[in-house]
Amino acid sequence: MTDVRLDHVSKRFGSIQALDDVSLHVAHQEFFCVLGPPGAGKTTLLRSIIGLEHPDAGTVEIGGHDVTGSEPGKRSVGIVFQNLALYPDKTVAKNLGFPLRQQSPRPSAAERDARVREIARLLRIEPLLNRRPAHLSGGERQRVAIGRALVRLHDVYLFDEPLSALDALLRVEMRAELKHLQRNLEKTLIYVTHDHVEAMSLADRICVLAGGRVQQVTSPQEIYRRPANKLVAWTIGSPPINLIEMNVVENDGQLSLDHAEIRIGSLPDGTLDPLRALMGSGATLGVRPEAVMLGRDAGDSRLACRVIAVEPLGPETIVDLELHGQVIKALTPPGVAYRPDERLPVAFDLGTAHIFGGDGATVYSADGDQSLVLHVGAPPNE
Amino acid sequence: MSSRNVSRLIVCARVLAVALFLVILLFPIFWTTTMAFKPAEEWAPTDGTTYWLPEDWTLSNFIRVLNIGDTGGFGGIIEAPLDATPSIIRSLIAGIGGTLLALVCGTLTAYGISRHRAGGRHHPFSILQMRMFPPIAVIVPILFLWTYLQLFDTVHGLALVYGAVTFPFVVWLMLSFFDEIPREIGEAARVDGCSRMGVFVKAILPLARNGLATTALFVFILNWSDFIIALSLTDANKTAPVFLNEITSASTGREFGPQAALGLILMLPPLVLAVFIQKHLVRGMTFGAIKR
Repeated sequence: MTDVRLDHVSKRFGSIQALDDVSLHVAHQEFFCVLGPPGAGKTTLLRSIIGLEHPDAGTVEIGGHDVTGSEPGKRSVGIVFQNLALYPDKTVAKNLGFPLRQQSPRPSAAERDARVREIARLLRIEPLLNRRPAHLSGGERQRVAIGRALVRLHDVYLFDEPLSALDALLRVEMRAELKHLQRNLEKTLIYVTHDHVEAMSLADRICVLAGGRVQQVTSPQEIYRRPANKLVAWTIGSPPINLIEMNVVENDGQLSLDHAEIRIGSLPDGTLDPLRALMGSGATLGVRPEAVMLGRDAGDSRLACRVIAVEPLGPETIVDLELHGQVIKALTPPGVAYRPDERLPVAFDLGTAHIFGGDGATVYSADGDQSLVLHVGAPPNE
Repeated sequence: MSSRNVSRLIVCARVLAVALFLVILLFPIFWTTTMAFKPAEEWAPTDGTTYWLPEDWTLSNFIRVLNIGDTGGFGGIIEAPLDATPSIIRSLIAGIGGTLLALVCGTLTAYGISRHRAGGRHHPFSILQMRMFPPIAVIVPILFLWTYLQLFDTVHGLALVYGAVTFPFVVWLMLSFFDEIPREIGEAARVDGCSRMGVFVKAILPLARNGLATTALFVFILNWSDFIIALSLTDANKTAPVFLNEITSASTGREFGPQAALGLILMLPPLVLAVFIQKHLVRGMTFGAIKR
């Protein structure tokens, strides 16, 4: 069993709190993604696990052993660095063989050679063994860096944005390879990325990190359907979720969320108490671009918005709309040509909507529940 | 004047300037080289003739300065015996010893500063300050100290001073080379199982070898060509440059021929070293100029 457990880990660099009381448990043989914007503390988290950074507080356990103070080489953890950090003066074979040479007891030359060839075969870099990193393409270098991490049999492997340096096409290809690789390796894998598509497609579980704090840890499906807060909802999805500021209003005992042009009524019972506490400060309605429907899809909606910009992507089209001075993005099926400045009927599928409180925490995720009702037009009592 | 004539004039001026520069640069080397092969009658002519090239090529100056045979004397006068070989050997030992000392200490210091900011932000500058005054300014206290420590007039005493004097150069040169090496390479080596010293020796130093070669050559040339420190700190055990300066005889005053011959010999070691490490040198000198 090689699980990784972080217990109340904090790390500060000068005035920057890189990690703020982070507690995590990564299960044995799990593909665990840490997702977050740049500067979220993702790399510091990895460096704390491998031992290149020593936390100010808290403990790091690998396979049940406290490794908080031990040297990186003694932790049985391999890492692929963001900038790969291959040894530029050494050939691919020497790069792959280097970790084996440092092992004690050191394996024999024949054993080392056999292991290097095995890894090279696994990663399909056998013909490159005598080249230096400068003479490799981006994808080849990437494979060598992964190979150098894999060549020693570790319990845990860490990947620090390993695909960020590659072009888009190669990234998709390597992503599929990584997923395949992980299934064969049967190892615990912690993967850091700022790309939510990468995280969603690879991970068994995703941890969203922001401002050095763990925002949510759950499965990719769950994190999309039930984000813990506004930040998580914003991180997952492209284009990001539309956030519409609403007032919490009570009329004749009926609670509703009001906006200059729309009103959300029929709020579920469970949300009434927390929303009532937000009266005066307001709440946020979260509607994903894929839940914004336009034109014919909007049915007989009385809400009309002006088109600001249209971005046809091929399989889908992103349409920017103006809703009372705010830009709302809609992800629509292809085939309909929208023109800037035309006014279109707009409808929201509230079955996937979220309501966030003033502190950003999720008050309500519809998750298929169609009880919310959208009323259009200025609230009657104003 | 048309613009075409002006540009021609500029080209002419440029060629002239380069030619003048080359003459100033190369003439001493030319003169030393030819003088080394002139017989005494030509390097010390009694009739005022100038011999641009030796008319009567000879190796007698080399034979005499290295004491490897009979030169047959000069104008029938028996010459005082000369033998520069021991001084050349002393120069080699002190020069190489001082260079190794400076390289070992300086490289480790530079690595510590580059990776760990050892000594604080102003440490590199304070090390360079050691070179803000000429070494001769502190040679008298060193002379006293060396006499007390029985290092005066010894080769190893000289090597110690050479090491100390060139140490700041090594630190500054190597610091820029180490700063160029990404941090992650050292970290990768630590993750791969190297000790901290192992990281330095196995991962970082091989990457800095071009810089190390360039620095070694530079520092060796400084030590090899030193005159003033050796003049102050030795007496009987002279180094080659000091020996060269003292080649005189009662009959002719300065013996330019043997001096030129020894000068030519002294040019060889840096030249040989440079050829030997040329591959590293070219890369070392352009290191950091191009973003990799």
